[in-house]
This record gives sequence, C-alpha cells and structure tokens, in this order.
Amino acid sequence: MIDEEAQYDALLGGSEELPSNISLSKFVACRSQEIQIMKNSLLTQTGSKLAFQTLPKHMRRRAMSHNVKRLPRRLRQIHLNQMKKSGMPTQQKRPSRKYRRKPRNLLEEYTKRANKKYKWLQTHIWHAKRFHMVEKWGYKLPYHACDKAFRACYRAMTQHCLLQDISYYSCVEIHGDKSEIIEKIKLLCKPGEGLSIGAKAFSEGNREGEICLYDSFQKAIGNVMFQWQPSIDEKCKLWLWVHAAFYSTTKNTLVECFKNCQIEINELRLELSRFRLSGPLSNPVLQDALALIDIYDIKLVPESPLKKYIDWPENKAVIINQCEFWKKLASVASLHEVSPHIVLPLIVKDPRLNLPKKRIKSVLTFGKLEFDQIPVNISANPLWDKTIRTYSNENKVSDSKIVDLQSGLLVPGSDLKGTIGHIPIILIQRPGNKTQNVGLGSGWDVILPTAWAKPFWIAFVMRGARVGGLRESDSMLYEMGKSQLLHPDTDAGFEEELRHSNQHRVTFFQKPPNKRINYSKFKIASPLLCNWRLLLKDWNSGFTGEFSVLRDKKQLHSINAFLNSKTHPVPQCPQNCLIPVRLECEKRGSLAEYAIICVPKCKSDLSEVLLEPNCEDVNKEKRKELRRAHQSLLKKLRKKRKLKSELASDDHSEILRSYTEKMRALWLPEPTTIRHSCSREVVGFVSKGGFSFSIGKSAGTGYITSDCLSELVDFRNKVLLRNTNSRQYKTANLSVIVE
Amino acid sequence: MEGPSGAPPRKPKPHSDHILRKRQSQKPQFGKTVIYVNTKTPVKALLDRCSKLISEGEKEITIYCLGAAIQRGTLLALKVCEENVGFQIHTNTFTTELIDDLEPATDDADYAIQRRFNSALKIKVSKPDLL
Repeated sequence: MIDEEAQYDALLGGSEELPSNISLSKFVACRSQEIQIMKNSLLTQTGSKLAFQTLPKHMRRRAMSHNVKRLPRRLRQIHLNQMKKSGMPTQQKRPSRKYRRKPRNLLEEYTKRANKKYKWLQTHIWHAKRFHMVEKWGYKLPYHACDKAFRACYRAMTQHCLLQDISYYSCVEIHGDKSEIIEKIKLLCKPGEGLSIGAKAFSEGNREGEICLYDSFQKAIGNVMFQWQPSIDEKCKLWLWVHAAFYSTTKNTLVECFKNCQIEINELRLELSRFRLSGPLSNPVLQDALALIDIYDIKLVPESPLKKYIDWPENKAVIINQCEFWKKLASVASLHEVSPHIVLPLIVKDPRLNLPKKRIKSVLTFGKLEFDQIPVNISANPLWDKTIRTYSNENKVSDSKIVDLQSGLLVPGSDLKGTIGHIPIILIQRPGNKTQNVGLGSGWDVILPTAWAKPFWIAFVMRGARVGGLRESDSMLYEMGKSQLLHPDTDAGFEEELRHSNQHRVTFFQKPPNKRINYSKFKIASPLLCNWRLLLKDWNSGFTGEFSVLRDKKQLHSINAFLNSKTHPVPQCPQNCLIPVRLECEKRGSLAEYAIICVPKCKSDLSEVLLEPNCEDVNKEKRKELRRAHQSLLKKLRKKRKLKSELASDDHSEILRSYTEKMRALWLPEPTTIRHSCSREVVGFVSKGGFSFSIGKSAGTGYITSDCLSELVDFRNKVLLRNTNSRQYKTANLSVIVE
Repeated sequence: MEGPSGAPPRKPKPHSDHILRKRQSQKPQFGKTVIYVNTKTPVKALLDRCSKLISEGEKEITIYCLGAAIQRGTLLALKVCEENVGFQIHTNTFTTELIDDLEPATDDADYAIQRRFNSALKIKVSKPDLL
C-alpha cells in the first residue's frame, strides 16, 4: 500500500494555483538573489563545524583532526586556529633524529640554547655528551663524568694526566702605570699573606703569582692569580685570573678602586680560555700535542699582525729561546723539576694537523735534563696584544675545510703538511704540593685564544689525558691537603655552603621519618650546616657577626709550632678568626662532612674508645603530639567537606605548610649552642672529609676558632672527631694549613 | 760550617728571605723491575715486591737508593739474595745532583736554585745463566 503524497499543483489536486505566464525579467531577478544567498551560505561555515568536516566524504581521512598533514593544505591553517581556540595542544611530532642531527639544524639548536641564562664553556658540547652538568656561578659546568671515574681521576692525577677546562676563571686586563697599579692593588690586599703583587719575583712577567683580594670593608673576596706583562715600560698590563664565583664582586671592587686614575680595565673573558693539566704525563701530552712553528719558514699572510710580531728581530730571538727551552723540557720526568710557576709562551701549529688517528697514550721519554740556571728572556708573548688575539680568534680555519684537505691527501690518514694556523699560547707551571707528598697536583696550565679551545682540547684528549670536572678540582685540593677554594668568610664561600647545606636538607626530608637520622640522639647541634657564626659566638661573647679566615703566614706558622711542640706558649692571635686545619685520623674509620672537632678532657679520652652518652630526644613526644593533632584536624575537615559537598573544596594549603614547617623544626631544631652541645667542647667543623688516597687514611680539612687555642694547651695537636651519625669519638692529629 | 780544605760549605743555609723547597731527585730509569728505595716504605713491602717479580720469572732487578736510604737498599738487596738461590749482586756507586728551589719570602727577593750532591747506589740483583 502506497500513501498518496500531498500534491502542490492545483491541477494535480494541490492547493496552489500556478500562473499561466511569468515575466522573465522579474523571475530572473528574484532567482539571482536566491542563488546569491545560497552561494554565500555554502562559502561561510555555520555552527560548530570543524574545518575538515566541510570536506566531501570521499576526501576525508582517518584521524584527520589529529594529524594536520592529512588535511588539504588550504584547510590546515584554519584547522590549527580552531584547535588552538579549543585548547588542544597543537604540537606536532618531534622531527626525526636524522633531521635534528644535521649540522645546520644542530648548530641552530645550540645557539638557541647557549644564549639562555647560563654561559657555556667552549668545550660545553664535548662535556655535555659525557658529563653530569651543573649550573653554577652563572655557567653550565661539568661536575663529573658519567662513567665510574672517581678513582681513575685520582690515578690520572698521580700517575697519568688529568685535564680540566677551567675557563670559568675569567681574565681581567688592567692597563696603566705600573707603580700606580701596584699601589692601588696593594690597598685591596693585606700584608703578611706571602708575596705581594709588586714582588720582584713576578714583576718581570716570567712567573705567575697568587694574592687574596679584599673589598673596601676589609672583607675577603677570594684568591686571584696574576701575571705581569713582560715589559720595561712604565705603562704596563696586568692580567688577573678571577674565579667565576666572585668575578662580579672583584670587577666592581676594581672599578671602584681605579675610579679616578688613568687606568683601563678590560674583560678578556671572550678572548682567552684556560685549561689545567695535572699529573706526571701532562708534560708528554703537551710535548706531543703542541707542534712548534719553524721560525725560519713561516708562511703567514705578510700583513697579519702575528707575522709582523714574529718578524721583529727582538721577538725572533725570544721565540728561538722559547722553542729551545721547550725542547729541553721533553725529558722532564716530573714537572716538579721545572722552576715553579714559570710562564712559558709558545707559538704552535694548528693541533688538528697532526692529530693521531685514534686515542693514544703519550709516555715519558728519558734523557738527562740539563739544569741550567732559570731561563731568561723567554716571557715575551704576542697574546698581550689585542690585535693578535682578535686575529687568532677570527682566523681559525673551519673543521670542514680541514676535513676537505685531509680527503685530498695522497696517502689517506697521513699528517697534513699545511701551514695554516699559528696560534700563540701560554704555559704556566704549577708546582703542586711543596712539603707533604711533594709534587702532588703539579702540572701545566694552558692559556689559549678562545676560538682554538676545542681543537686543542681534542688534541689533548687524543693523547691520553683523562678529563675531570668540578668534583675532581675539589678532590684534588682535598688530596693535596689544602682547604677548599672558596673560604667561608667570603660571600661566594658562604653562598656555596648554604647551597650545599640546602641540598642536604632536601635529601634529609625526602626520606621517610623512620629512615631519617635522629641527630638529637647523637647530640649534634648543627648536623647539616657548618654554623661558623654560632660557634664563634659561643667562644667569644664579644662576637659582632663578622669573622674572617686567618691568612697571615707568620701567625699560622706560630700556631703550627704551638701545636707541634710541648712547651711552646699559646701564640697571640686575632679574635673572631677561623684557622684552616688539616686532620688525619689516627685509627680506622671514615670521616665525613660536618663532623665536629672536639677538645679531649683527660688522657683516657685519647687512649680508650670514647662514646657520647646515650641521650633521649626531647622532641619525640612533641612530634607525636603534633602529628596526632594534625591527623584529627584532617579528619574533622574531611567530615566537613562531606557534609557540604556542594561547596568547592576549601584551601587548606596554609594549614599543611605550617604543619610541615613545625614538623621540620622539630626534626632539626635551631641550635642555641654548639660549643657545649655534647660532652666534649666543640672547637670546629670538618668542611671536607673522607678517605684520602694520597695518605691512605681518613682525613679531612676544616676550620677551628682562634679563641679556642688556649683550650688546646693540654693535648696540643691531639683532638677528637665525631661524625654526625655516630656516638663514637675518633682521635686525630691536627695541623694548620700553611702554604 | 766550612767543609774540609776550602771546599764549599756542605749545607749552605738559605738566606733568611728565602724558603727552601727541595725538588724531587731525577730518576735515571723507569720500569717494572726498577725499584727506588726510600725511607718511608717498609723494607718488607719492597722485599715482597722483589719476590713477586722473581716468581714471575724476572732475571734481573735494579735497586736505586739515595743518601739515607742506602742502608735500607743494601739490606733489601742482601735479603733478596738470601731468599732466592743463585742471585748475585753487582753494585755501582755514583753521585747525583740535587736541586733545591729557593722561594722568595720577601718582595725584594727573587727565585733562585741551589745545587747539592748526594751519594747514590745502584744495585743490580741478577741471576746469571749457568751455561
């Protein structure tokens, strides 16, 4: 059965009468309007249609809204805009690794990243592939290698060669009247701390010295290395090598100091890099990697500033002297045999020309070293000239060109015989330890134009140098028995300590309560921080809050003499001072950071095993109480939330925060006294401790207060040490660290 | 302290504005079978090292000793011969030059070096072929 449809036309039974004739012009005018409206409505989207939904069915593809590339190109932008509006991530798939690793794209990526917050070393990319990087002092610095290398680095330092990029030491150039510079800088130093900046030993520019700078309030800034330009003129240049931790403070102090003088200060951070090689093989590594130029056969462009420098007859003689001296040093077995702190400038060839095909190990060559007098007339050096520095930084042949040259060689793999690239560099000897473990940590420092840092770096690594990071710098100082680089009385040192302590606090509170060490049971007042201020206040009631580290050599020697003899009287010492000390455990057992240094009370303390008596934790009940109260409060709030479920949840973050703070204060309460915190009087802290490979014992470095010396009269250099996680005291020998 | 017959003083004292730093002595030879005797390492430990070398089949060990360590060196060499049958001693005495650095302690002084001489001993402990 078919339903009869309702008809339109009256002839067929519908309701409408159709006219018998129409006027064409009127009809067309009406229709054209209608067509226009229809066309418009086709073009503009109506409602909530997505871009791809406008496509005819045969052009639609699966997952079209997900992947924009499946859309026709004309719709892509519309689609993306719609997606952005609806809050969906518009991020597309990560480009393929092959695409990303193309040199052009890689470089773009690096420049994008390098301009960010932290400065990069020249060897950053080399390090970033192999090292744990840390953000420190405004730089991204290598901390330690990803492989297991702690002991290997120590071995490299004592038997082979350890290489470090220390370009975070920046160079500041001071140019002006020599006597005026000396006079002004002496205002920033204190007498009695060894040789001053104007000492005769350094004034000829053939040795590098070290001084401690102070700011205008007599507060220490830190140690800087310096080197004079070898010249006989009155006008002279001075280079200061400043650690990044106190670079800006030093710069400001210097600017203030030279404000009203005819003296120029330049930053050479972007022009010079510095590497550090330590260990007996550092000399062979350098001997192999540095190919000296042939002075009679230099094919430089005649108008280049370096060529002009070399052609000067006076300079020619100096360069010949330098080359001869360097050749003579080839048979040095240990760098300790070279005159200490000597500065040796050289002009060498491009290190990429004679790169070994695979990593080799440079070894010692033996011969009799002729000991002449200390070499003279070797310190003149083109790197002092700005034009030459810029010239060598700008005229580095690119790696790709070297590769092209190598591919054109007749015998593949042979050395390039090119004459491209003559680089002025400076070598500086470091004598290492001078009294104990003589020669430990000795080596060469290399200063070179920044652009050349990477090729030289690779050349050294390819000769068997092991690379270390910041951790190795710390451990090197520790093994040498020296205090850490940044002293606690400087701003930089204080910040470093605080940062370190905060890290320890975070890890402490990351542990669940039953895995945390309860320091109050061990009677350790300040477990995760060397609280020097409170310690000094305990020992001297007149403490004002400002303290300093004792650096006067005479006083340090007299304290050492007092500690080592039985009859020596207590030396006169300034108050509110910290004395840097070295501690060696007499027996077994490890020593860790933040361990306390105590004075023994009687003889039996040293001969028998001394234990801190058991102690109850007074905060234990308080913590329980607090936790119980907090739990019940939470329960109450939960009930409230259930009752008023329609309301949005209240903000309880303030309650939680105050609870955490209170709880943390009960775990690590603010100390009120350190000196009398346990059964023996505390005189200091160990700031770096552990097992020392160089002496085969537990050892540490730390500081004691100067006011406690009178207490040490009975047992002199015998002290007690206690780790923060132990009740047992260890006996140790105390000695003062003096250069 | 004038030495006999107008020789230079045996231990020249550094001037008050210098600090004496002794450099390490130069080692004439390096190698697995070369042993340097000092006054710190116990003789027993060195003896064990020699025994180990001999048990590994080494035919010759060279022992160097300098100054105060000469006595310990000779003791070591004799003990090695005593414990191992067939080893003989061949001794050479010689003099080595030692260098000290004089580090300036005041601003007016400059670096300098000072030479000393010390007697040294080279002992070859070897097992000659019987044939």
